[in-house]
Amino acid sequence: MPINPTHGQMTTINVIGHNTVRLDSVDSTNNYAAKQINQTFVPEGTVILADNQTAGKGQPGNSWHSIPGKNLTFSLILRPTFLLANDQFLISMAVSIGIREGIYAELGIWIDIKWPNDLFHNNKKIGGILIENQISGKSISSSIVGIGLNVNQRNLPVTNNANSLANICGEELDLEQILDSILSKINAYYLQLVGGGRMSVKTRYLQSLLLYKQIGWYRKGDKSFAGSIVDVSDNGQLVIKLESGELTKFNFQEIKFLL
Amino acid sequence: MKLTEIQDLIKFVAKAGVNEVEIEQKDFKITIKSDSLARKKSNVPGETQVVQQQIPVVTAPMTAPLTAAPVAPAAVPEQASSAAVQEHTKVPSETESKSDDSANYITVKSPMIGTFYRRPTPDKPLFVEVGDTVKEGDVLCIVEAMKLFNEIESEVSGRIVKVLVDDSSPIEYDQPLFLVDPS
Repeated sequence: MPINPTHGQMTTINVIGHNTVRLDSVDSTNNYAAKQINQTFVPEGTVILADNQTAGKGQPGNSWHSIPGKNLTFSLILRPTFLLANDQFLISMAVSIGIREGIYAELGIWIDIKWPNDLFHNNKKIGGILIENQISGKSISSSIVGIGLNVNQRNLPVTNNANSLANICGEELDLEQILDSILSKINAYYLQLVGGGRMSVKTRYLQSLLLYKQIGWYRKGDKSFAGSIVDVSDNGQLVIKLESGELTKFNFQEIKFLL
Repeated sequence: MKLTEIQDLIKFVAKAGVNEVEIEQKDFKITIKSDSLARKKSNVPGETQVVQQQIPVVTAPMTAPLTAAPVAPAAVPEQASSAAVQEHTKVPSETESKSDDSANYITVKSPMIGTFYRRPTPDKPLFVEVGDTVKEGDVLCIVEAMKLFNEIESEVSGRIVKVLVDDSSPIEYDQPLFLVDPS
């Protein structure tokens, strides 16, 4: 893993996962993290881990059905003050490739990242990321990265087109080992960002994207079209090359993948 | 010339206190006129000045005759709205030194492209409303960008004078969002 912390701008950070808060049950680990950082000093890299989230956050309408103790639901507290607010998508990229490689290192499975940061395997969703930043001026003062990953839950709602790592591997898995592996990879990519290695993070993210440089079908409004993902802009917009050869940028709400 | 450059130019002209500036580049010409007479009048105690007279007049005649429509409506809001809001919110008896006050309003701008939200979730109350007092670090709004949710904190303490964007609207980088009176 190329880590080059001596290159570029360097800030003092704690290792992600060095400090872990374990909760039996909480409304959402992101909410808990937000309250903590507002009330007291919490070291960067702190992980808030819960067996049960009663109100886990997801995209509106996509409630997260997690059986207590079966899956990984946790939040990381980061202080990426070295990033401008406009560069925040780098956090999303570093975290998603960290999760992807952490899963590979532990289980030998490559998952895909569905832009911007959903975790997919064989076109089924196995997890998601929800990032909440606090912005002061043009800089990011803190970032709460919520991660939900279906691990040992075997029965998943069919309508959600979801799957779990245990279903893919065909056996019960060790949550702690997967967590450690993921945290260590996220840590490595976060240190790359700290050290100024933005291009390598972006390159790896692009290579991990579902349908990168492949023809896929998409919908915008009531129009369906084919195209191939060729890039992601600095502020995170998806760049698709249409069949006409034209490059078009899309915001998150504008485009739907037709998988 | 970019919209932001025009905005900066208007600010510069307003600050410099000159009456008229004309800039001509190869295919572009812009004239910014500031009505200094109206500005002086507004300082007379008890007299309310019509807002539009304080807004610098911008015309941008292009080389093609059909595009001669003034660019002022798009370019002016950031600079001029502070003066405009001032006029609407102050009662006539408080018109003394209003020009100085309006210059002190702070514009909170979006640090990123995204969607502007005034509530944490649709069922929750607004973060801030016009007239609210905020202190440094208070959350003013959320800007959602590619599934990252950003709480925008106030960098100053003061009173919210105006909200410049509708809830759930798409916004651009550097777009003015709020006017805050820090006094």
